[in-house]
Amino acid sequence: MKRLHMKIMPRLVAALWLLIGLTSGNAWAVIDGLTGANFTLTAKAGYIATPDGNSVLMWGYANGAGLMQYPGPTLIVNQGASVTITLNNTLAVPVSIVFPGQQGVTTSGGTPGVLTAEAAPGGSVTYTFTAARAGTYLYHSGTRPDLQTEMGLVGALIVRPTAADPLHQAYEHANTHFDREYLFLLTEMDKTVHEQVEFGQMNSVDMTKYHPTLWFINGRNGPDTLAEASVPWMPHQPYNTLPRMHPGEKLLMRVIGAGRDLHPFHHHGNHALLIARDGRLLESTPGAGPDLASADFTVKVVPGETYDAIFEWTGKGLGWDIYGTGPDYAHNCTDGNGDSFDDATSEYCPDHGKPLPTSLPNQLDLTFGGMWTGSPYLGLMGALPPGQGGMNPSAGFTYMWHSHTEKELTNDDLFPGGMMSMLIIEAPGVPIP
Amino acid sequence: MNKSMKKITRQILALAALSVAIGDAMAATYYLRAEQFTQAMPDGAMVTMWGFAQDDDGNFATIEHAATVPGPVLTVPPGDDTLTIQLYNNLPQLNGADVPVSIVIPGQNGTALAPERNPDGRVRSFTHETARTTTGTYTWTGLKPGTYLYQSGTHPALQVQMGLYGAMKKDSAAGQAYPGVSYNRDLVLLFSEVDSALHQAVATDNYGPGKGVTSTINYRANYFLINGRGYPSIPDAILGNGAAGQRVLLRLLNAGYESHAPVLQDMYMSLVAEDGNLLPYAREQYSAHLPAGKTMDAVIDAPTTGGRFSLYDRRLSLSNNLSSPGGMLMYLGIDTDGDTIPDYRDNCTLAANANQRDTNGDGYGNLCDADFNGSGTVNTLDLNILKAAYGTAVGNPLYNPDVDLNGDNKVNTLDLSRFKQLYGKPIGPSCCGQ
Repeated sequence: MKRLHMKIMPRLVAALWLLIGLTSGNAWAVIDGLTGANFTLTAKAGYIATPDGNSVLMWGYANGAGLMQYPGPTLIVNQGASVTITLNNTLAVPVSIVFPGQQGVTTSGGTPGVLTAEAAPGGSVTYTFTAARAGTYLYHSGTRPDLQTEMGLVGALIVRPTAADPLHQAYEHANTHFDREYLFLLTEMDKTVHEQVEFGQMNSVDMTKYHPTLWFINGRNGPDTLAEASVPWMPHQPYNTLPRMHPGEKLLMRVIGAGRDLHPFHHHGNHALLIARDGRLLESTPGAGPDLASADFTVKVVPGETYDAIFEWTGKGLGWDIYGTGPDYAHNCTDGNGDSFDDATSEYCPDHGKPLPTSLPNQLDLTFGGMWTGSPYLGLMGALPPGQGGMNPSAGFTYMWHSHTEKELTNDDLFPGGMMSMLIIEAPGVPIP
Repeated sequence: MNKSMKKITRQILALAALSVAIGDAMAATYYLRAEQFTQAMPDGAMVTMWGFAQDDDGNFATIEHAATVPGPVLTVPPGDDTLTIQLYNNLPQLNGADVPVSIVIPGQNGTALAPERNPDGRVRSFTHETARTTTGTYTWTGLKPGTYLYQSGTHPALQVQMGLYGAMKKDSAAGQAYPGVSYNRDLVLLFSEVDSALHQAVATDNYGPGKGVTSTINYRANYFLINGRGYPSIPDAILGNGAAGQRVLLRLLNAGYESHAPVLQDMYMSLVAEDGNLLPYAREQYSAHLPAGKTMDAVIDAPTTGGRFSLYDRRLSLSNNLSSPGGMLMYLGIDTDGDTIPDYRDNCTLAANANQRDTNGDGYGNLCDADFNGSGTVNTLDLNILKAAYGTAVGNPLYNPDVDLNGDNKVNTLDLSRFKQLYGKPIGPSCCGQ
């Protein structure tokens, strides 16, 4: 694709992103978390912010002496590593950690509990296991888990595979390659439970009356999900959810059902290939790779389970040229390798030159949303009246990724919010951290 | 086929290590009586239930087995392709009216299903009903192998949650759940819930039109059960004796109205079948999504070493009417010595001592504990202690229960020979074999 506009645009956009501080501090480390093999977590209390202006008492796992955070730190370890996690407990109740999907977990210290050894108030316990298999996992409290996971004692565990490029491969098989990865840890909340705990009524908590009114991705409600990671106004909710990708890339969705309800996680834009469940490839025989993978557009997220799905987007099937048609939008679609896509931009060549099947209304007949760039085409700006636009500086295409239980798109009955994020398709060349 | 023949057939099947040529198709017959009874919940509360009681001889006058929730596991031998249930309705009246009942098995081919309707035309029962104090016959032909729920087909919104359900299983061949799915032992794990307020309304004629509770629309379970029990009273599941290569078949069923998600801790399972249908490929997971009415079969490669494994509902139904921990949580483990006490809590793992006798209270059963003086070794000092009580029995002031290793209330040559086996060996629950 050859077009002056497209060449200048990325640089402009990059400057803009820098200017408004939207780029992440952790370049290329898309999933924020702690790497290594030895971790110290501290169970402690704190308050998170919800977009309805409230704050809610939580119990969470902090990184060492850090702040309580919801969810707990994403632990990123290498396959084969001997992982040691020491849990210190500053809460007034015993706590613990279980690691679904990890086998041969041993404990030292602590006191016996229903599911695993626990850290008494003021005490500590250590868990050790070998991260034998690559994949997406979770961890959560094994002590009164109905109450304690609700209170926030949950987190993600990612085991990077033994592979030449473990940062771009989900499992040991080459067919699990990806360009970018994002975490979607799904939870819900009934604030009544948190209020009862806050007011010392913990023993009155009746989980059979559980009635959530807040839904979270990575510990934040929409639209806070879209804000930058580690922003100062949400010190206890460091993780954001803002997937971005270029056409033709493979985006790995690591989805975790960390709450107690099932959530149908619906990813607009395209189908995704579900390649693994519970940290196990969907394969017909060991070593076959994900040959049993199947496509869907809604991940059925069962509580306690994890899913790995590969999402791709090229605009194929839209039936119109996403880079525009006519003399103002001259560009080529060069398919040298015969895969129907432009070798550089992944434009779907059979749709090249097909006009957008609608007539754009006159600007005087429009009201403007902040995401409208003045152009329907990817990466392109059009003329806008003064003061309009500005929310979509790189002129990406935006798709809502959200729970398909639509009532979960609210924050305490206020729409929009809840279990909602946006995927942004960025034009080729737009930098993505 | 009568019951005694059936028993003989089962024994033959049980004895045969390899598959037995069954010959012509046979029919299994069970006799069930639907009745009301009270069942203790895990916290001790007594709740009125409707359940099935198994009757061995079909006279229904005397019932050989008490009613239970869930009802008895109905096992159909691999060669039988017809199942007949004779159902006697012993349910009490509700609000002064008789309560009809029936049985359906989703996934199996019931013969002559004849729905019954209310006077206004609405279907009340999926099949023909059995009136109060009468016997009805229900027959299924062309039985498929697998794991199935049987349950009341009459007013199921009320009757199923009252407890009229159970598991039915049939193997494709001896030791083989489905073609290609062999196992060494199976565990039926039937999930269900109880809304005790609803049961109380039924028990007190306060359920029905114009009553305090008009329907099950506000169903809110407060007891969460596996095989009718809740933690901590769910018996441990035994995964075999620790021999290598043992495969355990988990038959997971949900007769409740809520979804559950059984999760295994420290273990994976291969999900091999769903609703009695073999999956084309097994799915390796530590979890299973088990919505209402679902059955799933999963195979575990049993561990070869002791240790406590947990299974619990990841929808976190983990309380017994507000008291926690409770609900759908249980333990699994191997039992090396076959005394039904899993190794993880067996005070002698290699010597069968179902009574767990441990007179000195050191955590090691007498049968494997000859360290009488607690020195950490079994030596001549311990022998001297035994000698001091040798030849005595209970009642003799010199009798020492600690040295009565086999617990027969006498200290004699049997204890001495057991002592020799333990002599010089490391102490502990796994001391010294049989």
